Amino acid sequence: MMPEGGRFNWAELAKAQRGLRARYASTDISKYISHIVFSVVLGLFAGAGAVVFHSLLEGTRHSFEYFNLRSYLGVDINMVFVFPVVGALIVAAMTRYLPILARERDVTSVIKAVLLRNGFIPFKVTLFHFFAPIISIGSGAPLGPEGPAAKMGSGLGSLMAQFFRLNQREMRMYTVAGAGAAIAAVFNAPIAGVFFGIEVILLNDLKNQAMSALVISSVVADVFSRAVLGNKHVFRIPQYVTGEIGEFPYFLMLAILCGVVSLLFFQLRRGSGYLLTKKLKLRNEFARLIPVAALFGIVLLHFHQLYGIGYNTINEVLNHHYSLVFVFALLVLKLVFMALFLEAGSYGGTFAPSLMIGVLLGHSFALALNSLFALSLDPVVFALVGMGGVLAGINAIPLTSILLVFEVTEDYHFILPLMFVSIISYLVVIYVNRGGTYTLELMKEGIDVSKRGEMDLLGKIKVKELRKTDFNVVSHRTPFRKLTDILMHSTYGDVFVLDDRKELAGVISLRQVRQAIVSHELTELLIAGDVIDEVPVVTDDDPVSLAMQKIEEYDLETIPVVKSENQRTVTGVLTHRDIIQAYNRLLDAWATDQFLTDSRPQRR
Amino acid sequence: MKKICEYTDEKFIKRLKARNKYKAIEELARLFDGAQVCSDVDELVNALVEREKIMSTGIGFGLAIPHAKIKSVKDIAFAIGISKAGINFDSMDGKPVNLIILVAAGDRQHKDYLTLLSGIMSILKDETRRWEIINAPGPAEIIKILSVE
Repeated sequence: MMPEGGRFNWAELAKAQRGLRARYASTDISKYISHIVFSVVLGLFAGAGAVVFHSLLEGTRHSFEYFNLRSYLGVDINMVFVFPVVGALIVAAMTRYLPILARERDVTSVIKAVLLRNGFIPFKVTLFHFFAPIISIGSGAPLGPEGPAAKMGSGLGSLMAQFFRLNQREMRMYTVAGAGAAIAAVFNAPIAGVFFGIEVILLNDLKNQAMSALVISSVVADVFSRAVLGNKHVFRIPQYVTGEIGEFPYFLMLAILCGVVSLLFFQLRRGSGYLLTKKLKLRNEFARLIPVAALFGIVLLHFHQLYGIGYNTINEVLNHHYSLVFVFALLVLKLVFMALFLEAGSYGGTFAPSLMIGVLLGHSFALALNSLFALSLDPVVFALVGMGGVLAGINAIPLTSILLVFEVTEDYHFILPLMFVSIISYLVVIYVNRGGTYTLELMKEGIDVSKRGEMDLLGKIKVKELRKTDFNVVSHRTPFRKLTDILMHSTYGDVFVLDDRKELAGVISLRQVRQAIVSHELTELLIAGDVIDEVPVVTDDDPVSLAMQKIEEYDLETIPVVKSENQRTVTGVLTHRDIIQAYNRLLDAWATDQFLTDSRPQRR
Repeated sequence: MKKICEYTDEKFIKRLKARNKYKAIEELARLFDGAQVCSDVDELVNALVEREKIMSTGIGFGLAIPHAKIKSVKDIAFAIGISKAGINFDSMDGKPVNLIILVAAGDRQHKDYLTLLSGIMSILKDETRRWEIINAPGPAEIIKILSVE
């Protein structure tokens, strides 16, 4: 490549590149290596994003926090009530003037991007949801960073896939991995990051091949975050005594209480939504958010512990700085304002607030039982366990909750009650709500993921896309003998029967009239109209999922397609077989990258 | 499996006065008035007559089996009409009909409907059995004849 004269031979280099690409680009090993490299790069990006996000959020919160107002900004501490309003003004303006970017809020939008858009998230959406929660939470909104962090991480994963022109399956995979990696970095909790990806974004699909990317990116992101921000402990946990086996009945009571409080939060959200939208008819972004922020600001004058994410408050509660009445008041106010801010249009997640609510609940529960029944329950243990209980209840993520609390506390001693309370609280919530939080949120938008995490894939295609026109029709006057001949030679083993107006009267399938064919006497007695079965119909614009539902309900092989419910002129037929084939095609497109399954022949 | 005779009742058996096939169908269908079989006998009569207009249910050998499947029929049943004089039913063999079996079924009783029609046909293809029914002294005897399958 460096021939005589010292000139660089570009043609030779290009040739060598082509040779290398031809030799290695499509090999399994190169695919594996590039997958690992992309996962590491994503982990670094997500880690860096989380560090910037964390630093900005902490910086904003620190500057505006109650005790720092005088020293940092030189203003009276009573001015604390102003900041949530200022933050609300900015956030409402962002929502008002960038509505398309603003509407893609919270974790549900990431799940939708993965489900419906192959993981595509425009970078401007990522940017919007990077800054909006920093302003919102930094100025005091009692929400958490994980929803925005997941959005940021998944946005970076999607951006990386777009930049390197990766295929759709790869984009989905790295969008999922980015979300988990960001959670891992924000909470310093790599295992919880992985499980967040599985439980929330992948909707419990443990077989998904995004798993390896998820694990690698989460590890790298957390390593990066720890390298930059240090191995800081978020919570200062005092010495505590883990309970005896006899304390488990109290843990059971706490678990049910965590479930009930989670349900109360959902009720409060619905109530807040009703109050703002229906009762007060507030549609304007400013009119919805600013009064809530102003009210919160006034409350902050007496309960400044509610400001922002609330990790400091958790530490103060854990170290016994507050009375039972005060802790209970904080609990109620946190629940109410969390619901109000979310419904009013603020930006932030529910993980960190759930941790605070869990601590407040567990702590006050133990204190109350101790004073009422002269028990000696350790409020710290109950507070730590309550974290997992409320987190699992509000977010319907029992495994992530157990692991997140375990990782953020870095304490193993209370793992058994934590697991017990988290799962019971989760069960209470899904029993009452009949589904998980994210599943129900998606269901509201017409996306059914209830069947073991499977998407309503067939809902994405219309009947007209699969409709065929090679169907057989007969008049209802057709004698049975002639009908039998037509049926025997029919394309699908059934014929559509038309009335005198040439509209669908019903269907006759071979299996339904087998008995009549065998009994020769009946062939002289019957006509087509005698043996028709009423049949459900679909129209061109119906989703194929509806056709499938009707086919299963009536145990059919085919379903007629008519012009409309009122005008039953047959325009085509949809077969069970075609629907299954279409489903498999969609499933192929839906499945994550197949190259990670080893396609090499097995060595013997 | 139910016996054929269990789909009818002594009160659904009648010697017909009608001399016209549509009148005969109506006369026979009216036996279901007040019974639990059909909530709208007018609808049943209409359906039977309309069906008859498309193609005669007179299958020859003096036998006709008018039948209909409609929503207002709750329990599948049949009525038996006997006309010694015979009724012109435009039968396949051109002969008058002496025995009419009127079958009423619900719109979702497809399988029972075909089973019943098939069962009736297999009993009545026997000429002796048809003769016994036409000449039976009363409904009880007719039920007895049908109970032997």
